[in-house]
Amino acid sequence: MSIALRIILLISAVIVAAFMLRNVKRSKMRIEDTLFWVILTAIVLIIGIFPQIVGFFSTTLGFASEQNFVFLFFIFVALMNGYFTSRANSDLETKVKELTQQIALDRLDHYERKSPSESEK
Amino acid sequence: MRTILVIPAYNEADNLERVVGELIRDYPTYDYVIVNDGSTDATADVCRANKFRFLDLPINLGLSGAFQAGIKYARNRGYDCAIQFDADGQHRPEYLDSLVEAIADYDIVIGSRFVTEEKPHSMRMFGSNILEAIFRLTTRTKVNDPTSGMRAYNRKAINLLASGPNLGPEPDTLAYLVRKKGLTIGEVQVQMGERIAGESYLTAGVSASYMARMVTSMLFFHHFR
Repeated sequence: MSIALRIILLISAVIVAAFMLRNVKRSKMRIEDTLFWVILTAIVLIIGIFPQIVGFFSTTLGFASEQNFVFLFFIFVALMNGYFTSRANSDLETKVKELTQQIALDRLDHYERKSPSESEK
Repeated sequence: MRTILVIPAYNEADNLERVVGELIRDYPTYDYVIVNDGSTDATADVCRANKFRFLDLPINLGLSGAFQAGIKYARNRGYDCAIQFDADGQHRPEYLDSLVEAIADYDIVIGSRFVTEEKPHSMRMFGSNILEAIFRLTTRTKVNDPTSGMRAYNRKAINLLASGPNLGPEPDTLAYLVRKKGLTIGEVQVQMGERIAGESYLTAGVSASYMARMVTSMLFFHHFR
């Protein structure tokens, strides 16, 4: 793995880590949600510091070059993250829907309790 | 049999007074609940001014979420039958009796435009035919008018529809209920009018994504539900 790629990895790890810390500090993100990014940062750091690991996997799995392995690995990680994000999004949509319906039901209950003559229409 | 009409309304201020007014005046035996789906026009004001019973969703959920809110209301208040009814005047209340009559024999009854009458040839009916074919293929049940929005549900169907995702009042949900929950579907002939005011949301793009969703849902996802 070239020195340039290692430097890029190290720099991006530092930037991602800084972003995450800032998000948590400014209460933009829950700590449990930064977990993915923290682990990602750790992996990027380890790869940058010990490129032998990449060399080992790249050779064992028969990649043409170490760069190819690095790219493929991170594409896979990004896709996984995309999958989990859309699943979480689905969960949220469902929760928002249930809450919205409950609010409307409660509103009508509340209204009918205030004017009992209306409720027995 | 206690029956309630569930009337989803998104920006239907121009139609609502006339449609619901007619129901209250001429069909007082039917309870109703309007579901204002976060309308941006005066829908909620019209409901309040006329003292209509309505669920006021604080944000727009789309037809499936709005209808489900009405179904929740029907379930919570112990209704035996809920009828999905459009606020735009397309559904004629004179057919309500025949729907309720048929719900004694079926779990779901569709107010169908094409039981005794021929389907016209148009792009829209081409889509309807595709859905009808897939419906028959996957459920072994013939439904002439799967996209009709006028449907009656009995208590068993109400309880199944009341909570959870992917239960919008669409053909794929009907297919799911028949196939996986063993519900029965009947049809009665109805006529439908044109909408009184406002615009239909059915554009080419919407229709295409609607069809894509229905087809993948019925052919693919139902195997795993």
